[in-house]
Amino acid sequence: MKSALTPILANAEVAGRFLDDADLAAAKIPLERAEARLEAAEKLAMYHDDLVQDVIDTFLRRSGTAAVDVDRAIDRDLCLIQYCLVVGNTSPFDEWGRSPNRSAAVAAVKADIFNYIRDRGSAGLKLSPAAAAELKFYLNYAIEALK
Amino acid sequence: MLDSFSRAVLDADAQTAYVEGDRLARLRQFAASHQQRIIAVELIRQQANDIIAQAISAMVAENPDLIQRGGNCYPSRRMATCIRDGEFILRYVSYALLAGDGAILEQRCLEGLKETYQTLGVPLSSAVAAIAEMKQATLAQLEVQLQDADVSLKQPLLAEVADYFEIAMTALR
Repeated sequence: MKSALTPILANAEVAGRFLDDADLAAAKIPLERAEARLEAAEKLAMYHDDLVQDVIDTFLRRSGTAAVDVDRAIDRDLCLIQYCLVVGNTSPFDEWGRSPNRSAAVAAVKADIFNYIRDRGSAGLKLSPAAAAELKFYLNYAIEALK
Repeated sequence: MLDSFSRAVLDADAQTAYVEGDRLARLRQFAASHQQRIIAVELIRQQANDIIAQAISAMVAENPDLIQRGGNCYPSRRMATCIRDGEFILRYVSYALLAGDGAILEQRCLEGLKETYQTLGVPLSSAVAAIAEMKQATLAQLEVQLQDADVSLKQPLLAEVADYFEIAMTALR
């Protein structure tokens, strides 16, 4: 769950030097994208309950899947996606999202649910295009990881 | 060693909660001011020699005994050590600034520094005075460098820089 800034700082520290132009150029890229990522993270923090409720009311009802504890599991995974948006990489999902006791059946349902959220157009969150692209990227990553 | 993004996620995860509220607002401020932040980090590197030299001269002017026989900056070998330490602290301030988080400064630079100085007989009040000078010199240069920046971005950034120097001074008091 470390952002792209950490290795840049670690390298400079090990070399005992100030942050040079290459370091700052490398830091600039994730920082520039941070505004879009944080916009998506903020909307997710505000509307995650609504999003999960919509999944239960609309998607699960339509697909007839039993919703035992799925809401909590989905909310936890959405939370991990929010962490990814905050740090700017997939490490939160990689570190915590892959539980060994997760059954294939539940994973398949989750992948379908994330598909549903993704295809709802910014997940109904009214995101700017850049923020929507960031959210979509991490949702796609989660879908691939759950396959 | 953490930056503000990583720390926010770690703290939120400890409570199994989303990153939200003030925390998120501060991160958004951090993201919004990234251009000014990079300019500031760059300036500290470019001006490091001047900032340190100015601080050490001011420190010596305040306490001339330091460069007399028996003083802590005498002979020149010990003066060089003093300059090196000034650079050390300034460098970690610049790391903290890019990270938007003082932890790297506190944990990797300041921890145990007071005890080390006490053991070596380095006068702590002089060290603190030198850091105060570095703070002033850095802020003065940043004020010029960021004069065209939006006040809502510039002021919090200058306050943050001041904070990091304060953390260093507090650690040695």
